[in-house]
Amino acid sequence: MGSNFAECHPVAFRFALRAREHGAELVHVDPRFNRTSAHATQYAQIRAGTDIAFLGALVNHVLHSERWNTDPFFQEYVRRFTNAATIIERGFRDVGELGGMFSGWEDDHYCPDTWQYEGTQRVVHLHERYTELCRILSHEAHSLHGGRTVGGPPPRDPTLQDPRCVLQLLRRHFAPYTPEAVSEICGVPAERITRVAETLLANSGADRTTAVTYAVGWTQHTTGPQIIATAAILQLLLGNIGRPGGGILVLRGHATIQGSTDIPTLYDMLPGYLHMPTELDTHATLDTYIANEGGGAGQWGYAREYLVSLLKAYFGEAATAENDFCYEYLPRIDGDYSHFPMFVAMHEGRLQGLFLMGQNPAVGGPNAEYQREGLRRLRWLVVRDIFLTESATAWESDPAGCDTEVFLLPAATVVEKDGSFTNTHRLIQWHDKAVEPPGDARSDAWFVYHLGRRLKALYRRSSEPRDRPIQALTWDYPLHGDGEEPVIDYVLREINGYTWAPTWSARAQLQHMADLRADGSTACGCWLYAGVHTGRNVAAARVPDDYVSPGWGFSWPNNVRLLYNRASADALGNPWSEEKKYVWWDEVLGRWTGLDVPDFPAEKRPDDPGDRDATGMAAVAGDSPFVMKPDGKGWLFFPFGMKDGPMPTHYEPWETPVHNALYAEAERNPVTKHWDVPGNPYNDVANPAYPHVITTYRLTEHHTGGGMTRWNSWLAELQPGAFVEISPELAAEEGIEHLGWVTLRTARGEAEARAFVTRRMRPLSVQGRVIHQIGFPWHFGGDGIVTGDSANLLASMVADPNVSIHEGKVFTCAIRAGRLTGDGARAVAGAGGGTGGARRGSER
Amino acid sequence: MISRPGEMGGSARGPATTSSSHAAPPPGTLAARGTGPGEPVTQEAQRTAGVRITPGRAYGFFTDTTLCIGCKACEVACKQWNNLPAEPPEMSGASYDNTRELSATTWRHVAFIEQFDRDRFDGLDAPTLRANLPAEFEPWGALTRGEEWARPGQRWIFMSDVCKHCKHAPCLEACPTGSIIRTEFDSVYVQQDVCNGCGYCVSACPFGVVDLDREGDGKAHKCTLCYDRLRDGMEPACAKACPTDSIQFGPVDELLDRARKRVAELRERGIPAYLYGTDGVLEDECDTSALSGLNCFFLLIDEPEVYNLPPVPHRPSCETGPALATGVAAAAGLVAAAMLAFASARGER
Amino acid sequence: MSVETRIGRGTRTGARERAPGAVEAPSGVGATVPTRVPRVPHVRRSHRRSGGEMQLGREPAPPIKPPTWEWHIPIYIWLGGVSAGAWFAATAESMVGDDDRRTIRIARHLAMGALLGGTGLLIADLGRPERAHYMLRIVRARSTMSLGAWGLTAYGAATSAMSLAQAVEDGVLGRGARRARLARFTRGTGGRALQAVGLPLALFVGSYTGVLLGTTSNPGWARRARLLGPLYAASAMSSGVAAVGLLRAPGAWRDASHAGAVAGARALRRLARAESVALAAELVLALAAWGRVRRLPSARAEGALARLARALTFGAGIALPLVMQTNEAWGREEDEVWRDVLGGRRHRGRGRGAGRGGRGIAASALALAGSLALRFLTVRAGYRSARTPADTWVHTGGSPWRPRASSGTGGALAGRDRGTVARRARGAGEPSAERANRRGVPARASRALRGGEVSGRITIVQEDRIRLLDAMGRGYLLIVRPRRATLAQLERWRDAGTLVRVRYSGEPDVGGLVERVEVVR
Repeated sequence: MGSNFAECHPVAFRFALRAREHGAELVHVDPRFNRTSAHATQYAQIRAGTDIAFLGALVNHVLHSERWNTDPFFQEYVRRFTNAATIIERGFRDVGELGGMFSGWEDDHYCPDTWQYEGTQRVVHLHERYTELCRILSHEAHSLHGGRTVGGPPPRDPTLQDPRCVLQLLRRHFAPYTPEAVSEICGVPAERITRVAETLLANSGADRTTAVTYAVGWTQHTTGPQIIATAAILQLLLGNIGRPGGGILVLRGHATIQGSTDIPTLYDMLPGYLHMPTELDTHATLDTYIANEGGGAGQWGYAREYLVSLLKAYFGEAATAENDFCYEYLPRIDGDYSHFPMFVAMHEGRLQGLFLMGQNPAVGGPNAEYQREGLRRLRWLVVRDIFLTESATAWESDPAGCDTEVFLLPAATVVEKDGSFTNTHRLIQWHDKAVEPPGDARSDAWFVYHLGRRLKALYRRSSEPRDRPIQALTWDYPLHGDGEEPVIDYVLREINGYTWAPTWSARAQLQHMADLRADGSTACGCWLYAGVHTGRNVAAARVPDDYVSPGWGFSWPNNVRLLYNRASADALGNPWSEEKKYVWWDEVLGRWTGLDVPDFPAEKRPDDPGDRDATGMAAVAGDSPFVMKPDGKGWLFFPFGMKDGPMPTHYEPWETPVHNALYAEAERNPVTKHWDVPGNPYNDVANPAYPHVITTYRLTEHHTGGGMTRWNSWLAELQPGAFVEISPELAAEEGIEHLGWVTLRTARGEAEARAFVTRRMRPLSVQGRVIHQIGFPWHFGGDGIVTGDSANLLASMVADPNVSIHEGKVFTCAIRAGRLTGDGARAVAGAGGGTGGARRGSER
Repeated sequence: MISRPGEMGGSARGPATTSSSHAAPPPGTLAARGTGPGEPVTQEAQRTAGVRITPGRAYGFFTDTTLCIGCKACEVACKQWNNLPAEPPEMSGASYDNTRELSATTWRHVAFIEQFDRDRFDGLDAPTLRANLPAEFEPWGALTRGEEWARPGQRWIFMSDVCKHCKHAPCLEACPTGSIIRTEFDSVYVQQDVCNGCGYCVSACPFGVVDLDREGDGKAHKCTLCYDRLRDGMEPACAKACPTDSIQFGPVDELLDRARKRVAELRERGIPAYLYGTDGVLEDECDTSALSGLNCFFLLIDEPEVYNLPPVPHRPSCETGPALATGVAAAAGLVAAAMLAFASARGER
Repeated sequence: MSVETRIGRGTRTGARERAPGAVEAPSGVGATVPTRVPRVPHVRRSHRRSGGEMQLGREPAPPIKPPTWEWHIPIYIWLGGVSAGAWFAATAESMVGDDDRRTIRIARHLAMGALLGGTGLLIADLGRPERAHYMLRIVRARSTMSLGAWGLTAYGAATSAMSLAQAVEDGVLGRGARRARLARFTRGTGGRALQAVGLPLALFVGSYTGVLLGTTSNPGWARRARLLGPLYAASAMSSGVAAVGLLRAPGAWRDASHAGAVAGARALRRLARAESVALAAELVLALAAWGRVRRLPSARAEGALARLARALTFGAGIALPLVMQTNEAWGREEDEVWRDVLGGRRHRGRGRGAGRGGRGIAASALALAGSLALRFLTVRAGYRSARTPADTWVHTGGSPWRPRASSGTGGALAGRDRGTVARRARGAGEPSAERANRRGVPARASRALRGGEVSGRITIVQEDRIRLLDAMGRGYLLIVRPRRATLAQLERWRDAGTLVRVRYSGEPDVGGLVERVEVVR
């Protein structure tokens, strides 16, 4: 679900296909019948943005199925490994009672007090500070993430009968999601839903597992994280987490996107998912930060080790225990600096310069015209890319009125530089440079390094205190070649971590995450990656075998291939079954052993009750596999961490043709981030002017904004222009001809494309209405060999509250036959009109 | 998670050394061990395809259309290796197939076939499926179940087409200059330094593969089975690029065994698969015996025409002898008759 | 054919203003909610034959390629025929005729001239004319073109020889004892013998062209492979004889002497008889050949214009001249001519002769044109057929599965044909489709870089060939003569990934030659 596996991840899909050929069921749920559906053993065409409803129906079916309630495996797994038995606060009220809202709503945000386990409180900070935070950070309420839970241990009801225990809450919560009701929301026939549920159930249990894969088809929704949460609940109930062949796999959209979240390119994160300090006094000093961000039970209990080692890597010599290891030097967040606010700031003139490295917002950014306008209002813009992208040429639409100074720097492609990929399965794989970059093209590392070097030179003499950080920054990567490229291997060494010493020669690589120290004796760029370069580049290891292949590359943490794999053994530590034997407790050796590195303290006995007063792993009980959670349990109910409710519930997309069939009051996610600024209007709910559902997607032949593919004639000829996929029924309704031009309209603007009439698209029946869905690939732009309008010209800037991801996968639009008229007639080149066909593929 | 290497259960299974993967390859893969005369010294194919390339043996492709996901990697890999120019971009509207045909500058082509009836995607139960099996598939009329992805009326099938490298290649037999030859790998190869672009092979090919590069160098071009790569012990670019092993490269005899097993297995699962391009010895294989089979053959699940393949390709050169004979004979007869008529008007001296 | 397909093809159901929430299906396309509808039998048929049936948009490209030959080829075939026919005329005249020197002279020169012209066109049609002689690299019994090339060469030699001999006879090349002897020889038995020996070659050249078309995978031709040979032979003879007649006629009238006039009249009469026989055969064979292909979908889909063209060719190009010539050749009593001539009323005789000759000329001209038109018709039929996928299905049809394959294109096929035809004929083969698809195809970069210098790394070495990869990733296939660099050197450089600079002449990929190699680093 939520992923077009075959088209966007063709190489990985070989394994899915192989599984099918070995008799596995391949279920695909998607708004469009695409190349993945073409190979699925079951396919359901769903209305975009109703995934929670669909998954909810599956959860509901499972909870009421006879097998689930009788099979001892499910019962034990859920009772022992999840928080199903935990009792929740008396004050908690579910959406059913409050018409679509959970308890704890405070005019513009949730306060999670009533979501807690009974007898525990969430200590965040003084209340007024909290609201201030919410104001400053426009709902980026980090402290909800950190904070400390006091009290407990919460009462548990092993019989799972207590009306306030999580399982019972779950049962009540998902009761309305009957196949019939859900089919009215999703447009999927009820029997099809039941069949999918039966398939999942039949393929889960002691000796079978089911895996769920998703991609941006799930994340790009105002309810994205909650969709994934629903899948997590489903998989936990079916006992598919922490066991071979199970899990929820996010198919990352580009190589090493996973890496860019581990070592983040995000404004609110430090490497290893440590939160960027905020302005608030809760983050004033290192100690308060640690107190609020970690120090509890579970893996986060070692937050101090992680942060101190990181600071040591940043500031080296300058970081000492006396000065809190330069914790002062870390910037403090005083607002929301995610993608959209940045562009709003550009419009308002608050942001005047921008680096764009390998990004093409003029095509890839929702409400692309708004984003282009933002770029046009900059004073200076630096674009590093392999081609002259639309972002670099945004000014051309208004040469006179635009005084942006644009610097285009040629970048090296992946084959022209060393480096590593971190992909879906957290596997870090090293790749070597294959060819020299042509001309002046240089790697991004080269650019950043030399930029930093020159900045340090500029500030060398400054005595300003604010310049201390840049002066203290360690910046000592060796260089090589006439291009003076930094040796990436040393960057990986630093990420792995070493015992602190002023020179590389004196530094000893850390071997293991457990080597990290909080006393400043170790430096580590990302605690999760410890072990990736133990003096030898483990990421470059290439020893395959036919199963777990621990000798191939390195996967964080500690080369664990399967997270939480302690759950592959039962409470007593014995494998659930022969087929699914993976990691188990070896009584003789007195330690966990198996095919994989145990993701658990190796010598903690299964029956270890766990030391309640201790912190870190010592506090975790032997039957609690989920070591990232303070209680070590898999969460079916989230006492904290989510800003839009402790349980997922179906909200309509921000723009939708129909009303919410479940709640009249709260139709859409109440905590949704939206920007009511000029240039970003929304089509409201059930607006007859925009009757159709539109979803955007990618094609195998092109990559994201097309920056790497639309300039390559070999790829360009394969998909030579923008088109929209519509059903013959819609075509008949609107008098559209196959391959004829159509124009789509939303409140943001219009875009034209060729009509691609195909029976792969099908109208749906939703609440007694015929709903047409339109598919629009978003690769195309005005430049390159093949051109066309980007679907993002139509999309709006609206984001989910938890991680600020836009809703690109569903909004509403109107469609008419014919081309754009007047000034709108941008993409005259249109589909197939590309002029550069004659260029050779190997050209740059 | 906090467990030291010493303590970890699978410490023995810890990451292996880089050197062992880079410096010393598994024995016998790259070594010149037992390199026969004319055999490539390096045998990359042994790693990528498990095939040792030996001149004098017949090599080809087994294209399993049930595994093709239409990613077109083969097309791009082919153009890149063979350095072929791109066609001008043009949206064909025939599904995602914008390449449309094999040509002098396109040697791999992925066909996209959308087969959807009015009420698509809703499940078919077994009897309906039976009812929906084409009559031609009667040899397996007893099928009771199938899988949705392969069901008629609601499927999207892909096939990567290529030169078939026929055992009796009409293009080769037609070529008057001897430019088209059979290589030591039993592939059919156009020698560019001999071809004079007469275009007879173009009309001779029963699959519409070979063509003249009119705007280009005016000579005939087609898939070379990556002759240059084979010479260097590498498998053809397309097969190496194929992510799902839909395109499998190897010695034809081995491929055939593999393919027949695969067909049997698919029929077990209720999918009416059959082979196109064998010499047609088996009951239910498509009959290409006129060409005594193709070195590049296909596993199909619908009739050949659906994939734009001629059901029973002919071998034009079989007609050459008889046709010429009739021609000359008829001419002779005609001459005799005409001579008589001619003589009949002859005046006496 | 489904409603969607119609949309795809353009006729649209009118757009109706839509009330949001309208439940009923718009325009009856079955945009109704996807509830289970019992599958109807026709679906079972409809999904069968081709993606094109249920897939919107353009049909897939035809399964075979259209011929690459342009207007050159039909004209060449025609000229070759004329030449062969002329040779026949010369032979007949010298062996069973009155040995009319004028006729023979005309025929011999014509045979040579026509062939020369034809061969010129043939070469001009090649993609690489400068490599025409490569046709004689090998003899391949299975390749009609290879045999043809050799036949053509031999026959070419023969025609040139005879026309040369003729020139000697006529003393064009000066006079002298030796030449006189040679002339006597060629005028006498020797000439006859040579003509007779050359006759089979002529017949071959006249008929192989038909076989050449027939022995391809092009249904429009292959369906009648065994008829095209004879047809072209007949057509060759008719056109050749007609041409000789045309050229002979003026001389016949202008002749001042009785004897000359009589000889001319007789010669024309002989030619006319041979021509009418040939025309008769041509007519029969043409109809038979047409019968073999008229059921092909491409033929059925033919437009009125095409039908008219064929009717004209058959009617005015073959049948009409046949009637006229027959009448001319056998129409009148022998002695009438005598009386005309001996009666000394030459002017009248000439007048009448002229009148009759006039009819003869018209007939011959028609026959000549007819046989040219016939060639164009056949070749064009090939183009159409190649662009009509259904033709190939019919041609290679029969159930692909062995049990039925034996029944070949038998009755079982008929149904298949109709079904296929109906479906394939739709939208198949817009004439410009292929060409449009190729228009503006960029030439290889290497072509643009004809001759010059390039530096890069050697990626492949085979015997005397290397593939060089330059910094832009362009590949150059070049030939290296050992004196420039030895195989060992090349391989060493390849393995070491040495950067080399190469000066070459000619085109890479197509036999470009390395002039100089030097190691950069």
